[in-house]
Amino acid sequence: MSSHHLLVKDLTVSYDRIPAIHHLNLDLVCGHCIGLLGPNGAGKTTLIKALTGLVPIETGSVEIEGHHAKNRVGQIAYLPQRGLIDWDFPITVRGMVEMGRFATLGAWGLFSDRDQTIVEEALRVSRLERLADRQISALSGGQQQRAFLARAYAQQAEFYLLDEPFTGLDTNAQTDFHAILQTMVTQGKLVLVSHHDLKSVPNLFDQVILLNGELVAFGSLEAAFNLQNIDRAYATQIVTSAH
Amino acid sequence: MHWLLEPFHFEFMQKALLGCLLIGFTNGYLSGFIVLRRHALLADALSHSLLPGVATGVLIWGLQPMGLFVGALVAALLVVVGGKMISRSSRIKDDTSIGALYVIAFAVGIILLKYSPVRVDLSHFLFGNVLGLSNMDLCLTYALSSIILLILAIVQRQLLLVLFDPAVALSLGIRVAWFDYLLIALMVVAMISSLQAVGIVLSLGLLILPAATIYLLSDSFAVMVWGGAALGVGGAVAGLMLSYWADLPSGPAIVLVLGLGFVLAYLFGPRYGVIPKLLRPRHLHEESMKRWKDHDHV
Repeated sequence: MSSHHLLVKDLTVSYDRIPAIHHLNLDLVCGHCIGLLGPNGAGKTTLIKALTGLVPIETGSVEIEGHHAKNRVGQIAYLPQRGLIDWDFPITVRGMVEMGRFATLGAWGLFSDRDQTIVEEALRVSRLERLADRQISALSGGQQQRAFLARAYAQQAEFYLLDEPFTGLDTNAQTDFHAILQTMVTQGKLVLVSHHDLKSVPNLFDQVILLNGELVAFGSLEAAFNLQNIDRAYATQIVTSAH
Repeated sequence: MHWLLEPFHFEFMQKALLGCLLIGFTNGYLSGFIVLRRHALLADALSHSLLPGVATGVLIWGLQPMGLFVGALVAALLVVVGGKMISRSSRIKDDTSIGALYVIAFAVGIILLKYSPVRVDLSHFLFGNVLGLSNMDLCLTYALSSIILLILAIVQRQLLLVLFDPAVALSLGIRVAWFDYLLIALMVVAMISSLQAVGIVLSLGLLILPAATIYLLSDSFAVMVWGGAALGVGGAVAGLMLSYWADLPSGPAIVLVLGLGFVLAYLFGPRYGVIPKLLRPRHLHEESMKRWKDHDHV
C-alpha cells in the first residue's frame, strides 16, 4: 500500500482579510477515507480549494513528499459539487472521463493505448461501463457523481478531494458511491470528503477532520469522532439522553 | 448543374465564394466554443463596439482594410478591458459594464462617421457586401482565419476543459482567465475578418447559428465544432447562391439560410426538437407504474 503524504503546514486562507481557516496543520496519509466535518462556514470547502490551488494561500504550505503541491499538478484530483457543471454539455460519459487524461497529455500528446486502458479501468472501477456512451445529462445524480470520480481516477491522482459528494444522493446511490471510494482507498489512494450528515460518518469514513475555522480534531474515528469534539466543532450543546 | 456553376463565371462571384468558404468555416468552427461558453450576447455587444474603431480607421487611413482591422481591434479591446476593469473596481457586474461601454462606443462611432472624409454607409458596416470583396480583403480574411484555426487547434484540449469545468481546469494548473480572454480575442478577430463580407451584425449569425443548430442535433463536442464549420460553409455558399438567383442582399441571405436551419433543428431535431418531443409516446409512466404494481403484488 502506498504511503504518500499530503502535508498541510500552518495553512491560513482569508477572504477580504478575514481568515476562513487559520493555522491548520495536518498530515494526511494515503490509504484512508477521511471525512471533513464542521458546521456551515467552518471552512470545509475553503480547505479543499486551498489544497487544490483554487484559492490563494495566505500563510503556510501544502506539500506532497517534500515538494510544493503546486509543482505536482495532477497528483491531486478535485471533485467539485455537481451543481457547478452544465450537464447539457455535448459530451458522453466516456468523453468526460477522457478529459482526466488531458493533464498528462498536454496540448499535443497523442491519446495512446495506455490512455485508453486507463479510461476503461476508470469506467470499470466507477461501474459506468454500460453507460459510457450516454450523454451526461441522461445520468442520475449518483451516476453523475461516479462520472466525476471516474474522470478523477483517469487522472491517476493519489489524492482525491470531494466537495459534498453525498448531498442529494439516496441511500442506494450513497452505498454504491461509497463502495467505489472504498475500492480506491484499498488501492492506496487518499480520499478526503467534505460531509455534513454526522449520522452516516461511522459508516463512511475511517478518519475524520473536525473543523471550525481552526482544527478541532483530526484522527481515527475512535480517537477524534466523539461528542466532546463534535460539540466543540459545532459549538452547540448536543443533548444525548435525559438522565 | 448549369444553375450551380453559372454564377461563378463572374470573377466577383468567385471571390465571394472563396470568402464564404473561409468565413463560413472559421466562424462556424469557432461558434461551438462561443455557444458553449455562453458568449453569444457578449459577441453581440462586441460587434457594436467595433464601429468607433472602424470610423477612426476610416478617418485616419481612409477605406484601407488594414486600417479598419486595427481600428476595430483596438475599439473592441478597449470595451472588453474597460468593462472588466469597471466590474473589478466597482460593484457593477461585467455584463452591465460591457453593455454600457458598447452603446457608448456605438454612439461615438456613428458621430465619428459623420466626419469621415469618404462617405461610409452604416448599412455597409452592418451588412457588408460579399460581392465587393477585393484581393486585399480576401488575403486579410485568409490570414486571420488561419491564425484563429491554428490557435484553436493548439489550445483545444485546455479550452474544452475550461468550458466544461473551469474549477477542475484551474486545479490542473490551467489559466482559466487567460483562456477566457483568448476566446474573446478570437471572437473579435473572427468578426473583423468577416466585416467586409457579411458585415458586423451578420457575422454574428455565422458565429452563433451553426453551433446553436448542431447543439440541437448532437451530443458530441467534436461534431459540434466540425459540424458547425461544415454548416457555416454550407450555409454561406447556399446563401450566396440564393442571393444571386433571387437577387437578394448577400449578407442577410446567408444568415437567413442558417436561420432556417436553426428553426428546422429546433422544430424537427430527432432528439431535442420540439415536435418529436410532443409526438413521443406518453405511456411510459403508466407502463412503469403497472410493472411496479404487478411486482408489488407478487
